[in-house]
Amino acid sequence: MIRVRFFGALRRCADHDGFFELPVDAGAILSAGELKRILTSEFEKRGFRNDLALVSESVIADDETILQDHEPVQVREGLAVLPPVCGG
Amino acid sequence: MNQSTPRIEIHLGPETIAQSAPSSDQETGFGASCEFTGRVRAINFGRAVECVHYDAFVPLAQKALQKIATEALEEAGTSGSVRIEHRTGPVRVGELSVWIQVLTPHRDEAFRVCRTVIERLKHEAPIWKKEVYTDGETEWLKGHSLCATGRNS
Repeated sequence: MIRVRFFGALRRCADHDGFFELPVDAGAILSAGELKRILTSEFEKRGFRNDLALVSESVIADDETILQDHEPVQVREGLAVLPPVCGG
Repeated sequence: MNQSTPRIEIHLGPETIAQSAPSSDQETGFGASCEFTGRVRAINFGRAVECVHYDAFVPLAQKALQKIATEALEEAGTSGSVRIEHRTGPVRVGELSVWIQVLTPHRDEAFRVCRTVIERLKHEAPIWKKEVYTDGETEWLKGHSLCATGRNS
């Protein structure tokens, strides 16, 4: 299991510290799109059906960059899931 | 200061925004100054607002804003200085949530860079806001998906 960080409206689906556990081994290499599909599956299992659209509109990111769906990512603690933004 | 080297300062944090004046070397180096300030409104879409909570993925937001400011200066074809401050955490009605200060040699570029920075900030910076209403309800505001921008990567 690894924990990804949730922000914005996704926080309502996270634990108190803003993390969400995913059933993926640390170190595995997946595409960002595959990680989102696993996330979607977990949302369905845990009953967050009302927030599935939010996941589809979100991107996977690390501290440095946003990952496109086709890009490979080494799964690790602290990857972020970013829903639509609205700063200012 | 060397006018050909852009000076870009970014800060995201819970502190009140002070809107500090340009330093003396900036004032003599650039003839135009343009600022944008954003405040929390008391009413939004007919609902009375108590405060707004800003959430941010700070490391990536700093990087995104640095890139936005750099590209805004490049697109305007000017040297300049850009400062961006954005609050995180709770911000009460009437308080500043964002402050952008742009200094350039001439006014047209200052206006254009300032406008570009605030528009792109709203669409591309990983920052979110949750409105807290006076009746106790809360709502995360809808925003812009980063899936389509492709400019942050």
